[in-house]
Amino acid sequence: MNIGIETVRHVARLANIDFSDQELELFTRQLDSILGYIDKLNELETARIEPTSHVTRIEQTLREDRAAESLSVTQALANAPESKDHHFTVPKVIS
Amino acid sequence: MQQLSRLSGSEILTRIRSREISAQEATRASLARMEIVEEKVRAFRCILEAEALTAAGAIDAALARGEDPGPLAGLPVALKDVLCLAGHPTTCGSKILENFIPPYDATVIRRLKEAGAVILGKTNMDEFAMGSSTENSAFEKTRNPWDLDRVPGGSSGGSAAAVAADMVPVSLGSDTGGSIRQPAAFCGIPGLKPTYGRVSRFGLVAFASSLDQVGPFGKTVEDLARVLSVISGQDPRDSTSAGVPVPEYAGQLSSPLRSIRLGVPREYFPSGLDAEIGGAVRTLLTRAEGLGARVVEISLPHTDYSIPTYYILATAEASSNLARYDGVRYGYRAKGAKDLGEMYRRSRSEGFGGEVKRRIMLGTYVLSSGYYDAYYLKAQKVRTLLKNDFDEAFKKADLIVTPTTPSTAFRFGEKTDDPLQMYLSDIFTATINLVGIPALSLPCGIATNGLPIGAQIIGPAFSEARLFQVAAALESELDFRSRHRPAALDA
Repeated sequence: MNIGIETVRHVARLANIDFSDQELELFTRQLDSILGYIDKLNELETARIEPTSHVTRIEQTLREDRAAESLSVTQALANAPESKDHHFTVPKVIS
Repeated sequence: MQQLSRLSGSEILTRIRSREISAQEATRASLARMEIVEEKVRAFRCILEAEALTAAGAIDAALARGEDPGPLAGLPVALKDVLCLAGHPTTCGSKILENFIPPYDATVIRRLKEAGAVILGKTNMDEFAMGSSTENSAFEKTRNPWDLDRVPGGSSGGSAAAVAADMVPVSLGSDTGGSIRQPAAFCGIPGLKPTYGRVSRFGLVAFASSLDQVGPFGKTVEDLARVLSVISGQDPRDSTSAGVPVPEYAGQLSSPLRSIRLGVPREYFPSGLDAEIGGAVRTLLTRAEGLGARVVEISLPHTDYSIPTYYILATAEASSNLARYDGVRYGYRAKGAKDLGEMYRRSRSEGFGGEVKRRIMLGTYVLSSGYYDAYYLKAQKVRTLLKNDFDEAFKKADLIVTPTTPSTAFRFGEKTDDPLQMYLSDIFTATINLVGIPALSLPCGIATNGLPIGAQIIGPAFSEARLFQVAAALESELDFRSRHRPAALDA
Protein backbone atom coordinates (compact mmCIF):
# COMPACT_ATOMS: atom_id res chain seq x y z
CA MET A 1 0.00 0.00 0.00
CA ASN A 2 1.36 3.40 -1.03
CA ILE A 3 -1.56 5.44 0.30
CA GLY A 4 -4.45 4.72 2.70
CA ILE A 5 -8.02 5.99 2.80
CA GLU A 6 -7.35 8.32 5.76
CA THR A 7 -4.59 10.10 3.84
CA VAL A 8 -6.88 10.44 0.83
CA ARG A 9 -9.56 11.92 3.10
CA HIS A 10 -7.00 14.42 4.42
CA VAL A 11 -5.85 15.36 0.88
CA ALA A 12 -9.48 15.86 -0.18
CA ARG A 13 -9.85 18.39 2.64
CA LEU A 14 -6.71 20.21 1.47
CA ALA A 15 -8.04 20.26 -2.10
CA ASN A 16 -11.50 21.50 -1.01
CA ILE A 17 -13.29 18.60 -2.68
CA ASP A 18 -15.93 16.37 -1.01
CA PHE A 19 -16.13 12.66 -1.82
CA SER A 20 -18.62 9.98 -0.86
CA ASP A 21 -17.17 6.94 0.94
CA GLN A 22 -17.52 4.96 -2.28
CA GLU A 23 -15.59 7.60 -4.26
CA LEU A 24 -12.93 7.72 -1.54
CA GLU A 25 -12.39 3.97 -1.86
CA LEU A 26 -12.14 4.15 -5.66
CA PHE A 27 -9.72 7.09 -5.53
CA THR A 28 -7.60 5.38 -2.88
CA ARG A 29 -7.27 2.32 -5.11
CA GLN A 30 -6.47 4.37 -8.22
CA LEU A 31 -4.03 6.75 -6.50
CA ASP A 32 -2.35 3.76 -4.87
CA SER A 33 -1.74 2.20 -8.26
CA ILE A 34 -0.46 5.47 -9.79
CA LEU A 35 1.86 6.10 -6.82
CA GLY A 36 3.15 2.53 -7.11
CA TYR A 37 4.15 3.31 -10.68
CA ILE A 38 5.65 6.69 -9.72
CA ASP A 39 7.83 4.93 -7.12
CA LYS A 40 9.98 3.89 -10.05
CA LEU A 41 11.77 7.23 -9.68
CA ASN A 42 13.40 5.92 -6.49
CA GLU A 43 15.57 3.66 -8.64
CA LEU A 44 17.49 6.82 -9.58
CA GLU A 45 20.21 8.35 -7.40
CA THR A 46 19.61 12.11 -7.51
CA ALA A 47 21.37 13.46 -4.40
CA ARG A 48 23.77 15.56 -6.46
CA ILE A 49 21.40 16.58 -9.27
CA GLU A 50 20.07 20.14 -9.44
CA PRO A 51 16.29 20.41 -9.88
CA THR A 52 14.85 21.95 -13.09
CA SER A 53 11.74 24.07 -12.73
CA HIS A 54 11.99 26.10 -15.90
CA VAL A 55 13.40 24.58 -19.06
CA THR A 56 14.31 27.22 -21.60
CA ARG A 57 16.37 29.46 -19.27
CA ILE A 58 15.29 32.48 -21.25
CA GLU A 59 14.91 35.73 -19.35
CA GLN A 60 11.40 36.60 -18.30
CA THR A 61 9.47 38.91 -20.56
CA LEU A 62 8.49 41.89 -18.44
CA ARG A 63 6.51 44.90 -19.57
CA GLU A 64 7.10 48.42 -18.35
CA ASP A 65 5.46 49.24 -15.04
CA ARG A 66 3.02 51.77 -16.43
CA ALA A 67 -0.71 52.17 -15.96
CA ALA A 68 -2.66 51.02 -19.01
CA GLU A 69 -6.23 50.37 -19.98
CA SER A 70 -7.74 47.37 -18.22
CA LEU A 71 -11.12 45.70 -17.77
CA SER A 72 -13.92 47.88 -16.43
CA VAL A 73 -15.54 46.92 -13.12
CA THR A 74 -18.67 45.88 -14.99
CA GLN A 75 -16.67 43.59 -17.29
CA ALA A 76 -14.72 42.15 -14.38
CA LEU A 77 -17.92 41.33 -12.51
CA ALA A 78 -19.86 40.10 -15.54
CA ASN A 79 -19.01 36.43 -14.89
CA ALA A 80 -19.49 36.53 -11.12
CA PRO A 81 -22.16 34.12 -9.81
CA GLU A 82 -23.18 36.88 -7.37
CA SER A 83 -22.10 40.49 -7.05
CA LYS A 84 -23.33 43.66 -5.37
CA ASP A 85 -22.14 47.29 -5.23
CA HIS A 86 -19.02 46.64 -7.34
CA HIS A 87 -17.98 43.65 -5.21
CA PHE A 88 -18.05 39.86 -5.54
CA THR A 89 -20.38 38.50 -2.87
CA VAL A 90 -19.99 35.17 -1.05
CA PRO A 91 -21.84 33.29 1.70
CA LYS A 92 -20.92 34.00 5.32
CA VAL A 93 -17.24 33.30 6.02
CA ILE A 94 -17.95 32.06 9.57
CA SER A 95 -21.27 30.33 10.17
CA MET B 1 -18.16 23.27 -52.15
CA GLN B 2 -17.28 19.72 -51.13
CA GLN B 3 -14.05 19.87 -53.11
CA LEU B 4 -13.09 23.26 -51.67
CA SER B 5 -13.22 21.83 -48.16
CA ARG B 6 -10.61 19.24 -49.13
CA LEU B 7 -7.99 21.87 -49.91
CA SER B 8 -5.14 22.61 -47.53
CA GLY B 9 -5.01 25.93 -45.70
CA SER B 10 -2.16 27.10 -47.92
CA GLU B 11 -4.11 26.20 -51.10
CA ILE B 12 -7.13 28.12 -49.85
CA LEU B 13 -4.99 31.16 -48.99
CA THR B 14 -3.47 31.20 -52.48
CA ARG B 15 -6.88 31.01 -54.13
CA ILE B 16 -8.34 33.77 -51.99
CA ARG B 17 -5.35 36.02 -52.59
CA SER B 18 -5.60 35.50 -56.38
CA ARG B 19 -9.36 36.15 -56.06
CA GLU B 20 -10.10 32.78 -57.64
CA ILE B 21 -12.43 32.21 -54.69
CA SER B 22 -13.75 34.64 -52.08
CA ALA B 23 -13.18 34.39 -48.34
CA GLN B 24 -16.93 33.95 -47.93
CA GLU B 25 -16.87 31.00 -50.33
CA ALA B 26 -14.13 29.39 -48.25
CA THR B 27 -16.15 29.94 -45.06
CA ARG B 28 -19.33 28.65 -46.74
CA ALA B 29 -17.45 25.53 -47.86
CA SER B 30 -16.46 24.86 -44.24
CA LEU B 31 -20.02 25.46 -43.02
CA ALA B 32 -21.46 23.21 -45.73
CA ARG B 33 -19.06 20.42 -44.81
CA MET B 34 -20.00 20.80 -41.13
CA GLU B 35 -23.64 20.48 -42.12
CA ILE B 36 -22.89 17.03 -43.55
CA VAL B 37 -20.39 15.51 -41.14
CA GLU B 38 -20.48 17.31 -37.78
CA GLU B 39 -23.47 15.26 -36.64
CA LYS B 40 -21.30 12.14 -36.91
CA VAL B 41 -17.99 13.60 -35.66
CA ARG B 42 -19.12 16.07 -32.97
CA ALA B 43 -15.87 18.00 -33.04
CA PHE B 44 -17.35 21.38 -32.12
CA ARG B 45 -18.63 22.94 -28.91
CA CYS B 46 -20.03 25.87 -30.89
CA ILE B 47 -20.11 27.00 -34.53
CA LEU B 48 -19.95 30.76 -35.14
CA GLU B 49 -21.69 30.88 -38.51
CA ALA B 50 -22.90 34.51 -38.53
CA GLU B 51 -19.68 36.01 -37.13
CA ALA B 52 -17.58 33.93 -39.52
CA LEU B 53 -19.53 35.06 -42.59
CA THR B 54 -19.31 38.69 -41.45
CA ALA B 55 -15.55 38.42 -40.86
CA ALA B 56 -15.06 36.73 -44.23
CA GLY B 57 -17.16 39.46 -45.89
CA ALA B 58 -14.86 42.11 -44.39
CA ILE B 59 -11.84 40.27 -45.85
CA ASP B 60 -13.46 40.19 -49.28
CA ALA B 61 -14.24 43.91 -49.04
CA ALA B 62 -10.63 44.70 -48.09
CA LEU B 63 -9.34 42.61 -51.00
CA ALA B 64 -11.77 44.37 -53.35
CA ARG B 65 -10.35 47.72 -52.18
CA GLY B 66 -6.88 46.45 -53.00
CA GLU B 67 -5.80 46.24 -49.35
CA ASP B 68 -3.74 43.45 -47.82
CA PRO B 69 -5.89 41.83 -45.10
CA GLY B 70 -2.95 39.83 -43.71
CA PRO B 71 -1.06 36.58 -44.24
CA LEU B 72 -4.03 34.37 -43.25
CA ALA B 73 -6.69 36.39 -45.10
CA GLY B 74 -9.91 34.39 -45.26
CA LEU B 75 -8.49 31.19 -43.75
CA PRO B 76 -11.16 29.26 -41.80
CA VAL B 77 -9.84 28.16 -38.40
CA ALA B 78 -11.22 26.31 -35.39
CA LEU B 79 -10.04 26.89 -31.81
CA LYS B 80 -9.77 24.44 -28.96
CA ASP B 81 -12.21 25.55 -26.27
CA VAL B 82 -9.29 26.14 -23.87
CA LEU B 83 -8.56 29.50 -25.56
CA CYS B 84 -10.45 32.61 -24.49
CA LEU B 85 -12.52 34.12 -27.30
CA ALA B 86 -14.10 37.41 -26.23
CA GLY B 87 -17.88 37.32 -25.97
CA HIS B 88 -18.30 33.56 -26.48
CA PRO B 89 -18.46 30.76 -23.92
CA THR B 90 -15.06 29.18 -23.19
CA THR B 91 -15.86 25.97 -21.33
CA CYS B 92 -12.58 24.08 -21.31
CA GLY B 93 -14.76 20.97 -21.58
CA SER B 94 -15.91 21.52 -17.99
CA LYS B 95 -19.23 22.07 -16.23
CA ILE B 96 -17.41 24.43 -13.89
CA LEU B 97 -16.84 26.89 -16.80
CA GLU B 98 -20.08 26.15 -18.67
CA ASN B 99 -21.29 29.77 -18.40
CA PHE B 100 -17.94 31.55 -18.54
CA ILE B 101 -17.76 34.26 -21.22
CA PRO B 102 -14.27 35.78 -21.44
CA PRO B 103 -14.10 39.58 -21.71
CA TYR B 104 -10.90 39.37 -23.80
CA ASP B 105 -9.24 37.44 -26.62
CA ALA B 106 -6.26 35.17 -26.05
CA THR B 107 -3.16 36.67 -27.69
CA VAL B 108 -3.07 33.85 -30.27
CA ILE B 109 -6.68 34.63 -31.23
CA ARG B 110 -5.98 38.35 -31.49
CA ARG B 111 -3.01 37.56 -33.75
CA LEU B 112 -5.08 35.20 -35.91
CA LYS B 113 -7.80 37.83 -36.33
CA GLU B 114 -5.27 40.55 -37.16
CA ALA B 115 -3.77 38.24 -39.81
CA GLY B 116 -7.20 37.88 -41.44
CA ALA B 117 -8.13 34.38 -40.24
CA VAL B 118 -11.86 33.61 -39.92
CA ILE B 119 -12.92 31.87 -36.71
CA LEU B 120 -15.45 29.11 -37.42
CA GLY B 121 -15.94 27.79 -33.90
CA LYS B 122 -14.64 26.26 -30.69
CA THR B 123 -13.77 22.59 -30.48
CA ASN B 124 -14.39 19.84 -27.95
CA MET B 125 -11.67 18.64 -25.59
CA ASP B 126 -10.94 16.61 -22.48
CA GLU B 127 -11.95 18.62 -19.40
CA PHE B 128 -9.16 21.13 -18.64
CA ALA B 129 -7.05 19.37 -21.30
CA MET B 130 -6.63 16.35 -19.02
CA GLY B 131 -6.93 13.17 -21.03
CA SER B 132 -5.84 11.36 -24.16
CA SER B 133 -9.17 10.56 -25.82
CA THR B 134 -11.52 13.57 -25.42
CA GLU B 135 -13.79 11.17 -23.48
CA ASN B 136 -13.31 13.39 -20.41
CA SER B 137 -15.30 16.24 -21.99
CA ALA B 138 -18.25 17.09 -19.73
CA PHE B 139 -20.39 17.64 -22.84
CA GLU B 140 -19.98 15.10 -25.64
CA LYS B 141 -17.78 12.45 -27.20
CA THR B 142 -15.90 13.40 -30.35
CA ARG B 143 -15.44 10.56 -32.86
CA ASN B 144 -12.44 9.73 -34.98
CA PRO B 145 -13.26 10.51 -38.66
CA TRP B 146 -11.35 7.37 -39.73
CA ASP B 147 -13.52 5.08 -37.59
CA LEU B 148 -16.49 6.50 -35.71
CA ASP B 149 -16.24 3.79 -33.04
CA ARG B 150 -12.84 5.09 -32.00
CA VAL B 151 -11.53 8.09 -30.10
CA PRO B 152 -9.85 10.98 -31.93
CA GLY B 153 -7.17 11.14 -29.24
CA GLY B 154 -6.87 14.01 -26.83
CA SER B 155 -6.96 16.30 -25.22
CA SER B 156 -7.28 18.42 -28.42
CA GLY B 157 -9.51 15.75 -30.03
CA GLY B 158 -12.07 18.19 -31.44
CA SER B 159 -9.46 20.36 -33.17
CA ALA B 160 -7.79 17.29 -34.73
CA ALA B 161 -11.06 15.68 -35.85
CA ALA B 162 -12.34 18.98 -37.33
CA VAL B 163 -9.32 19.14 -39.67
CA ALA B 164 -9.27 15.41 -40.46
CA ALA B 165 -12.99 15.58 -41.37
CA ASP B 166 -12.35 18.55 -43.73
CA MET B 167 -14.53 20.90 -41.67
CA VAL B 168 -11.66 23.40 -41.37
CA PRO B 169 -8.19 23.34 -42.97
CA VAL B 170 -6.39 24.40 -39.78
CA SER B 171 -7.08 24.62 -36.05
CA LEU B 172 -5.33 25.41 -32.80
CA GLY B 173 -4.84 23.03 -29.90
CA SER B 174 -2.78 22.99 -26.73
CA ASP B 175 -0.19 20.41 -25.74
CA THR B 176 0.90 19.69 -22.15
CA GLY B 177 1.99 16.04 -22.54
CA GLY B 178 1.05 15.16 -26.11
CA SER B 179 -2.38 16.77 -26.51
CA ILE B 180 -1.64 18.05 -30.04
CA ARG B 181 0.69 15.31 -31.33
CA GLN B 182 -1.28 12.27 -30.14
CA PRO B 183 -4.64 13.35 -31.68
CA ALA B 184 -2.76 14.45 -34.83
CA ALA B 185 -1.36 10.92 -35.10
CA PHE B 186 -4.74 9.29 -34.37
CA CYS B 187 -6.49 11.48 -36.96
CA GLY B 188 -3.85 11.25 -39.72
CA ILE B 189 -2.88 14.94 -39.92
CA PRO B 190 0.24 16.97 -39.05
CA GLY B 191 0.34 18.77 -35.69
CA LEU B 192 3.04 20.74 -33.90
CA LYS B 193 3.91 21.39 -30.28
CA PRO B 194 6.19 24.44 -30.46
CA THR B 195 9.14 25.20 -28.17
CA TYR B 196 8.14 26.30 -24.66
CA GLY B 197 7.96 30.11 -24.90
CA ARG B 198 7.54 30.24 -28.69
CA VAL B 199 3.81 31.06 -28.49
CA SER B 200 2.09 33.35 -25.97
CA ARG B 201 -0.23 31.66 -23.49
CA PHE B 202 -2.15 34.77 -22.46
CA GLY B 203 -5.78 33.67 -22.61
CA LEU B 204 -4.97 29.95 -22.59
CA VAL B 205 -6.71 28.38 -19.59
CA ALA B 206 -3.78 27.07 -17.53
CA PHE B 207 -3.27 23.35 -16.82
CA ALA B 208 0.46 22.86 -16.07
CA SER B 209 2.31 26.13 -16.51
CA SER B 210 5.84 24.76 -16.99
CA LEU B 211 4.59 22.44 -19.78
CA ASP B 212 1.60 24.02 -21.62
CA GLN B 213 2.08 25.31 -25.15
CA VAL B 214 -0.36 26.34 -27.91
CA GLY B 215 0.18 24.92 -31.40
CA PRO B 216 -1.42 24.30 -34.80
CA PHE B 217 -3.03 21.38 -36.65
CA GLY B 218 -3.25 21.56 -40.44
CA LYS B 219 -3.70 19.58 -43.64
CA THR B 220 -0.03 20.01 -44.50
CA VAL B 221 3.26 20.97 -42.90
CA GLU B 222 3.10 24.26 -44.82
CA ASP B 223 -0.22 24.99 -43.07
CA LEU B 224 1.48 24.57 -39.69
CA ALA B 225 4.34 26.83 -40.80
CA ARG B 226 2.04 29.62 -41.93
CA VAL B 227 -0.01 29.56 -38.74
CA LEU B 228 3.03 29.34 -36.45
CA SER B 229 4.58 32.48 -37.98
CA VAL B 230 1.40 34.38 -37.09
CA ILE B 231 0.82 33.12 -33.54
CA SER B 232 4.48 33.14 -32.37
CA GLY B 233 6.45 35.87 -30.69
CA GLN B 234 6.99 37.79 -27.51
CA ASP B 235 3.94 39.05 -25.65
CA PRO B 236 4.12 41.59 -22.82
CA ARG B 237 1.12 39.76 -21.32
CA ASP B 238 2.96 36.42 -20.96
CA SER B 239 6.21 36.57 -19.00
CA THR B 240 7.20 33.11 -20.30
CA SER B 241 6.96 34.13 -23.97
CA ALA B 242 10.42 34.30 -25.52
CA GLY B 243 11.95 37.25 -27.33
CA VAL B 244 13.36 34.99 -30.05
CA PRO B 245 12.81 36.37 -33.59
CA VAL B 246 9.98 34.75 -35.56
CA PRO B 247 10.95 33.72 -39.12
CA GLU B 248 8.64 33.35 -42.10
CA TYR B 249 8.67 29.58 -41.66
CA ALA B 250 6.67 28.83 -44.80
CA GLY B 251 9.18 30.69 -46.97
CA GLN B 252 12.00 28.38 -45.85
CA LEU B 253 10.42 25.01 -46.44
CA SER B 254 12.47 23.70 -49.33
CA SER B 255 15.84 22.58 -48.14
CA PRO B 256 17.63 19.38 -49.10
CA LEU B 257 17.83 16.63 -46.49
CA ARG B 258 21.40 15.91 -47.57
CA SER B 259 23.76 15.37 -44.63
CA ILE B 260 21.10 15.94 -41.97
CA ARG B 261 21.49 13.50 -39.06
CA LEU B 262 18.27 11.87 -37.83
CA GLY B 263 18.68 10.27 -34.41
CA VAL B 264 16.74 7.10 -33.60
CA PRO B 265 16.56 6.52 -29.83
CA ARG B 266 16.55 2.79 -29.11
CA GLU B 267 14.37 3.33 -26.01
CA TYR B 268 11.50 4.53 -28.25
CA PHE B 269 11.49 1.25 -30.19
CA PRO B 270 11.11 -1.27 -27.31
CA SER B 271 10.72 -4.97 -28.08
CA GLY B 272 7.00 -4.80 -27.23
CA LEU B 273 6.30 -1.96 -29.67
CA ASP B 274 3.41 -2.52 -32.09
CA ALA B 275 5.12 -4.01 -35.15
CA GLU B 276 3.15 -1.96 -37.68
CA ILE B 277 3.95 1.32 -35.91
CA GLY B 278 7.64 0.48 -35.57
CA GLY B 279 7.65 -0.64 -39.20
CA ALA B 280 6.00 2.54 -40.51
CA VAL B 281 8.50 4.76 -38.69
CA ARG B 282 11.44 2.63 -39.88
CA THR B 283 10.13 2.89 -43.45
CA LEU B 284 9.96 6.66 -43.06
CA LEU B 285 13.61 6.66 -41.96
CA THR B 286 14.59 4.56 -44.99
CA ARG B 287 12.83 7.06 -47.26
CA ALA B 288 14.70 9.88 -45.47
CA GLU B 289 17.99 8.09 -46.16
CA GLY B 290 16.96 7.87 -49.80
CA LEU B 291 16.70 11.68 -49.75
CA GLY B 292 20.23 11.97 -48.36
CA ALA B 293 19.63 12.00 -44.59
CA ARG B 294 21.90 10.03 -42.30
CA VAL B 295 20.20 7.84 -39.67
CA VAL B 296 22.15 7.48 -36.43
CA GLU B 297 21.33 5.28 -33.45
CA ILE B 298 21.16 7.25 -30.20
CA SER B 299 20.13 6.63 -26.60
CA LEU B 300 17.88 8.58 -24.23
CA PRO B 301 18.65 6.46 -21.15
CA HIS B 302 16.10 7.96 -18.72
CA THR B 303 13.09 7.46 -21.01
CA ASP B 304 11.39 4.99 -18.62
CA TYR B 305 11.23 7.68 -15.95
CA SER B 306 9.48 10.32 -18.01
CA ILE B 307 5.83 9.35 -17.41
CA PRO B 308 6.19 9.15 -13.60
CA THR B 309 8.03 12.50 -13.66
CA TYR B 310 5.38 13.99 -15.90
CA TYR B 311 2.48 12.87 -13.71
CA ILE B 312 4.06 14.36 -10.59
CA LEU B 313 4.89 17.74 -12.12
CA ALA B 314 1.77 18.10 -14.28
CA THR B 315 -0.63 17.22 -11.46
CA ALA B 316 1.20 19.38 -8.91
CA GLU B 317 0.98 22.38 -11.22
CA ALA B 318 -2.64 21.56 -12.07
CA SER B 319 -3.70 21.33 -8.42
CA SER B 320 -2.28 24.80 -7.93
CA ASN B 321 -3.71 26.29 -11.15
CA LEU B 322 -7.18 24.83 -10.57
CA ALA B 323 -7.40 26.25 -7.05
CA ARG B 324 -8.82 29.37 -8.73
CA TYR B 325 -12.14 27.59 -9.44
CA ASP B 326 -13.84 28.44 -6.18
CA GLY B 327 -17.23 29.75 -7.30
CA VAL B 328 -16.39 33.36 -6.43
CA ARG B 329 -15.32 35.36 -9.51
CA TYR B 330 -16.54 33.19 -12.40
CA GLY B 331 -17.70 29.70 -13.14
CA TYR B 332 -20.10 27.37 -11.36
CA ARG B 333 -21.28 28.09 -7.82
CA ALA B 334 -23.22 25.48 -5.81
CA LYS B 335 -26.52 26.78 -4.51
CA GLY B 336 -27.59 27.02 -0.87
CA ALA B 337 -24.22 26.62 0.88
CA LYS B 338 -24.44 27.94 4.45
CA ASP B 339 -20.86 29.21 4.64
CA LEU B 340 -17.89 30.01 2.42
CA GLY B 341 -16.03 26.73 3.03
CA GLU B 342 -19.05 24.65 2.08
CA MET B 343 -19.57 26.82 -1.02
CA TYR B 344 -15.97 26.18 -2.14
CA ARG B 345 -16.16 22.42 -1.55
CA ARG B 346 -19.55 21.89 -3.11
CA SER B 347 -18.86 24.11 -6.14
CA ARG B 348 -15.67 22.17 -6.86
CA SER B 349 -17.16 18.75 -6.12
CA GLU B 350 -20.18 19.38 -8.37
CA GLY B 351 -18.28 21.30 -11.05
CA PHE B 352 -15.22 19.11 -11.76
CA GLY B 353 -15.33 15.71 -13.45
CA GLY B 354 -13.61 12.52 -12.27
CA GLU B 355 -10.26 12.78 -14.06
CA VAL B 356 -9.79 16.41 -13.04
CA LYS B 357 -10.50 15.49 -9.39
CA ARG B 358 -8.08 12.57 -9.62
CA ARG B 359 -5.30 14.84 -10.86
CA ILE B 360 -6.03 17.58 -8.32
CA MET B 361 -5.85 14.91 -5.61
CA LEU B 362 -2.58 13.46 -6.87
CA GLY B 363 -1.09 16.95 -7.27
CA THR B 364 -2.24 18.07 -3.83
CA TYR B 365 -0.78 14.90 -2.32
CA VAL B 366 2.66 15.23 -3.94
CA LEU B 367 2.89 18.86 -2.80
CA SER B 368 1.60 18.22 0.72
CA SER B 369 3.65 18.54 3.86
CA GLY B 370 6.02 15.60 4.30
CA TYR B 371 5.82 14.39 0.68
CA TYR B 372 7.20 17.36 -1.25
CA ASP B 373 10.84 16.18 -1.28
CA ALA B 374 9.97 12.57 -2.06
CA TYR B 375 7.83 13.42 -5.07
CA TYR B 376 7.96 16.99 -6.38
CA LEU B 377 11.63 17.75 -5.74
CA LYS B 378 12.62 14.26 -6.90
CA ALA B 379 10.68 14.76 -10.15
CA GLN B 380 12.33 18.13 -10.77
CA LYS B 381 15.71 16.46 -10.42
CA VAL B 382 14.77 13.68 -12.82
CA ARG B 383 13.62 16.41 -15.19
CA THR B 384 17.23 17.63 -15.20
CA LEU B 385 18.39 14.11 -16.14
CA LEU B 386 15.86 13.97 -18.98
CA LYS B 387 17.02 17.35 -20.25
CA ASN B 388 20.66 16.17 -20.11
CA ASP B 389 19.68 13.09 -22.17
CA PHE B 390 18.42 15.34 -24.96
CA ASP B 391 21.38 17.76 -24.74
CA GLU B 392 23.69 14.77 -25.28
CA ALA B 393 21.52 13.33 -28.07
CA PHE B 394 21.54 16.60 -30.00
CA LYS B 395 25.35 16.46 -30.15
CA LYS B 396 25.00 13.34 -32.30
CA ALA B 397 21.79 14.12 -34.17
CA ASP B 398 20.20 17.25 -35.66
CA LEU B 399 16.68 15.93 -35.15
CA ILE B 400 15.21 12.85 -33.47
CA VAL B 401 12.55 10.57 -34.98
CA THR B 402 10.25 8.30 -32.95
CA PRO B 403 6.71 6.93 -33.11
CA THR B 404 4.17 9.51 -31.84
CA THR B 405 2.02 6.93 -30.05
CA PRO B 406 2.40 3.30 -28.93
CA SER B 407 -0.91 2.31 -30.63
CA THR B 408 -3.34 3.56 -33.26
CA ALA B 409 -6.66 5.13 -32.13
CA PHE B 410 -8.37 2.99 -29.49
CA ARG B 411 -12.07 2.28 -28.96
CA PHE B 412 -14.39 4.31 -26.72
CA GLY B 413 -14.26 3.04 -23.15
CA GLU B 414 -11.16 0.94 -23.76
CA LYS B 415 -8.99 2.83 -21.26
CA THR B 416 -11.47 4.87 -19.19
CA ASP B 417 -11.51 2.47 -16.21
CA ASP B 418 -7.74 2.36 -15.84
CA PRO B 419 -6.19 5.85 -15.49
CA LEU B 420 -2.66 4.44 -15.62
CA GLN B 421 -3.25 2.76 -18.99
CA MET B 422 -4.61 6.06 -20.32
CA TYR B 423 -1.51 7.89 -19.01
CA LEU B 424 0.77 5.44 -20.81
CA SER B 425 -0.64 6.50 -24.19
CA ASP B 426 1.53 9.64 -23.72
CA ILE B 427 4.69 7.59 -23.30
CA PHE B 428 6.46 8.95 -26.41
CA THR B 429 5.22 12.54 -26.15
CA ALA B 430 5.26 13.72 -22.51
CA THR B 431 9.08 13.87 -22.19
CA ILE B 432 9.19 16.51 -24.91
CA ASN B 433 7.10 18.89 -22.76
CA LEU B 434 9.30 18.21 -19.72
CA VAL B 435 12.34 19.21 -21.81
CA GLY B 436 10.53 22.18 -23.44
CA ILE B 437 11.57 21.39 -27.02
CA PRO B 438 9.44 21.36 -30.21
CA ALA B 439 8.04 18.22 -31.84
CA LEU B 440 5.84 17.59 -34.84
CA SER B 441 3.67 14.56 -35.59
CA LEU B 442 3.54 13.59 -39.26
CA PRO B 443 1.25 10.90 -40.71
CA CYS B 444 3.56 8.16 -42.00
CA GLY B 445 1.39 5.13 -42.75
CA ILE B 446 -1.82 3.17 -42.34
CA ALA B 447 -2.14 0.09 -40.14
CA THR B 448 -4.07 -3.00 -41.26
CA ASN B 449 -6.99 -1.78 -39.11
CA GLY B 450 -7.25 1.15 -41.53
CA LEU B 451 -6.08 3.72 -38.98
CA PRO B 452 -3.28 6.27 -39.43
CA ILE B 453 0.15 6.04 -37.81
CA GLY B 454 2.13 9.11 -36.78
CA ALA B 455 5.88 9.71 -36.63
CA GLN B 456 7.21 12.25 -34.16
CA ILE B 457 10.04 14.52 -35.31
CA ILE B 458 11.78 16.26 -32.41
CA GLY B 459 14.26 19.16 -32.50
CA PRO B 460 16.29 21.35 -30.14
CA ALA B 461 14.67 24.49 -28.68
CA PHE B 462 13.58 26.99 -31.35
CA SER B 463 14.46 24.68 -34.26
CA GLU B 464 10.94 24.83 -35.75
CA ALA B 465 12.25 26.01 -39.14
CA ARG B 466 14.39 22.85 -39.39
CA LEU B 467 11.51 20.63 -38.20
CA PHE B 468 9.25 22.05 -40.91
CA GLN B 469 11.88 21.58 -43.62
CA VAL B 470 12.45 17.91 -42.81
CA ALA B 471 8.75 17.21 -42.24
CA ALA B 472 7.81 18.90 -45.53
CA ALA B 473 10.39 16.87 -47.46
CA LEU B 474 9.13 13.62 -45.92
CA GLU B 475 5.50 14.64 -46.43
CA SER B 476 6.04 15.14 -50.15
CA GLU B 477 8.02 11.87 -50.35
CA LEU B 478 5.22 9.86 -48.67
CA ASP B 479 2.29 11.72 -50.25
CA PHE B 480 0.04 10.44 -47.44
CA ARG B 481 -2.71 13.02 -47.93
CA SER B 482 -3.51 12.19 -51.54
CA ARG B 483 -3.19 8.44 -50.95
CA HIS B 484 -5.35 8.07 -47.83
CA ARG B 485 -8.62 9.60 -46.68
CA PRO B 486 -10.88 8.88 -43.72
CA ALA B 487 -13.51 6.72 -45.37
CA ALA B 488 -16.00 6.61 -42.48
CA LEU B 489 -17.53 9.98 -43.36
CA ASP B 490 -18.11 9.62 -47.06
CA ALA B 491 -19.78 6.21 -46.80
